[in-house]
Amino acid sequence: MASARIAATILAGVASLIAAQPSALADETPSAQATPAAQATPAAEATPSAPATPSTPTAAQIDVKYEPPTDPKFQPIFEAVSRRKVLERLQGFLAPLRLPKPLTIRLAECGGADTVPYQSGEPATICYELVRKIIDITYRNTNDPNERAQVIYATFVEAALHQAAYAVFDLLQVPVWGREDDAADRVAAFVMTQFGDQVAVSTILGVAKFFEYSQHAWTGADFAELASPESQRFYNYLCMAYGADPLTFHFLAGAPVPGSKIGQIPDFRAVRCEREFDQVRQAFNLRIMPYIDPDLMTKVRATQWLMPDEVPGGAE
Amino acid sequence: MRHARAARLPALLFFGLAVCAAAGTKATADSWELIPPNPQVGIEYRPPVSPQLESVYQYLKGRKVLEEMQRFLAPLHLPHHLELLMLECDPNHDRPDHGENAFYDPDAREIWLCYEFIAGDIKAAPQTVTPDGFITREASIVGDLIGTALHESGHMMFHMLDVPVFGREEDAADEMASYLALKFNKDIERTIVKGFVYFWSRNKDPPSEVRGRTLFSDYHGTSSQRMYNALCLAYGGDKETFQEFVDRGWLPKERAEHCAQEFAQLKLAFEKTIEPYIDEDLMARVGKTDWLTPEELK
Repeated sequence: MASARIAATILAGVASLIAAQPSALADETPSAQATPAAQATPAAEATPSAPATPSTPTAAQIDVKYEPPTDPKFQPIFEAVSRRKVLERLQGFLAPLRLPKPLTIRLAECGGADTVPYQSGEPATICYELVRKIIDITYRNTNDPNERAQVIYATFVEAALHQAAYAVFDLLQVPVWGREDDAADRVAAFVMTQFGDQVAVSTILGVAKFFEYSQHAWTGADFAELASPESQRFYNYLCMAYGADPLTFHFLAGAPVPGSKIGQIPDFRAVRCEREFDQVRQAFNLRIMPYIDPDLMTKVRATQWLMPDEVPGGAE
Repeated sequence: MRHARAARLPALLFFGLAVCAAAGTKATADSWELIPPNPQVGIEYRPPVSPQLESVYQYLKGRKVLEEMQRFLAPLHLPHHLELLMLECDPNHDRPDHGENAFYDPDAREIWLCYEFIAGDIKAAPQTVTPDGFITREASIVGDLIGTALHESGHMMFHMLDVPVFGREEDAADEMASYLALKFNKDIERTIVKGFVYFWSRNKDPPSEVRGRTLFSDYHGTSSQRMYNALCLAYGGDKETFQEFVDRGWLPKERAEHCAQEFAQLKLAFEKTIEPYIDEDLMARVGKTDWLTPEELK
């Protein structure tokens, strides 16, 4: 378990780099299309001060790029994320990964799509459209400033880890059994569980809440999509968390917790979660760990990526 | 403890093999009977308790379905003994699935193929052929049987060979069924995929809204997802044979465009994790063997 936690910290660092900068995303206002549930200024709700960028090794094989948007509505996102050096932090976090080819991770417009499929040899892309969507959906569904911050940060982290997983699968020629998009989710969730209890609870539940907010009704040929329905992803994330640490995430299974804001895993699934988590852990150890520099990994692991006061307080 | 709930669609694989073998009555140069059984694989047909399953039991036993499976698995070097069982899974009539299921039990290293599951498929099969004339009764039954058997074989291989599985294991087992299906000749490939399509298209997906999310908490994909996945991998692996399936509108164009890439990913996974355990010469013989009857191939 120790080796898995260390390994996962590498990817997890990416997430924490982003999450360590709450205002990078939360000081965006919802788009005009959104129906804000409240008029509170997000920046005022989020933790305003960000720590200095951790001093970490840089990854020669990983480049990051902020592509300036042409659509003015994405400009605030561009400015906030680039000012906070979010992708640079991701770059530092990925430094222990020994990739055989260069990889570019970019924030870019995707022509109106939320995501663009990762193509071998091409950059891994986080779309402005997705970030905008995350902010809008979150604002439509909750007035709670802490919960807004939690959901937005966690879902941005999820998007980054998800794209990074696709690239790692490709560049390391990882054999992927099961649908690749679900596999990327499971790796992202696995990494999130390695942050330590507080961050794991915040990120996993934040992502799950976003899927719950989405309320996208799937019908007919929707089920042919490469990604799974949000409702399936919701349970996949919760199950990975519960499987990783049934003590910390005890409230996700068993008797309903009064006042809980998160759904629970049915018993028939909950009993399988530990095995689901172990399956991903073993796959990670076998196929990705050999490409991680142990000395750099130790430095990354020793880095204080996420200060306690930077974790949104929306956890149950 | 059961490894998984019934993987109904893919389960027909083994059965299909068996049925094919049974259909091929004469031991020709390409007969399955000329392939040596896997020495690590044992078989057993357990007589059912319920009288209504007697005919299914007699049919499968006479068809030598498990004997075919033993030979289909011949190229695979297994580190442990595997037992293939056909049995009545719900003799006390107290299981929620009524025994209409198939399983791989990792603790006992057994694959269970339930008579109730096969009886259900026989009952649900079209009388002669589907209204569009595309899927015959025989193809729907045999295809689903083979697919299910291959799916459970996938679970078995993941467990016995310590295969790293990053995605959901139920989807991975479906992928194994699809990949192995393409190891047969084109006619058998088509039969298996028809069985997939017929079975999964009969089941309705649950409403997908997150508010009704409990229905999506299963570790299996929905029926539609599994159908589209199977169609996509078949098309991605053999565009020529399965172009007709896409032309019929069974697979959306947007997904079809991505299928070659999906199949390439599956091929890589198979080559890296399963192929080292396979005797290539025996595998080549398996691919050239007649497993199905002419009726089942229509």
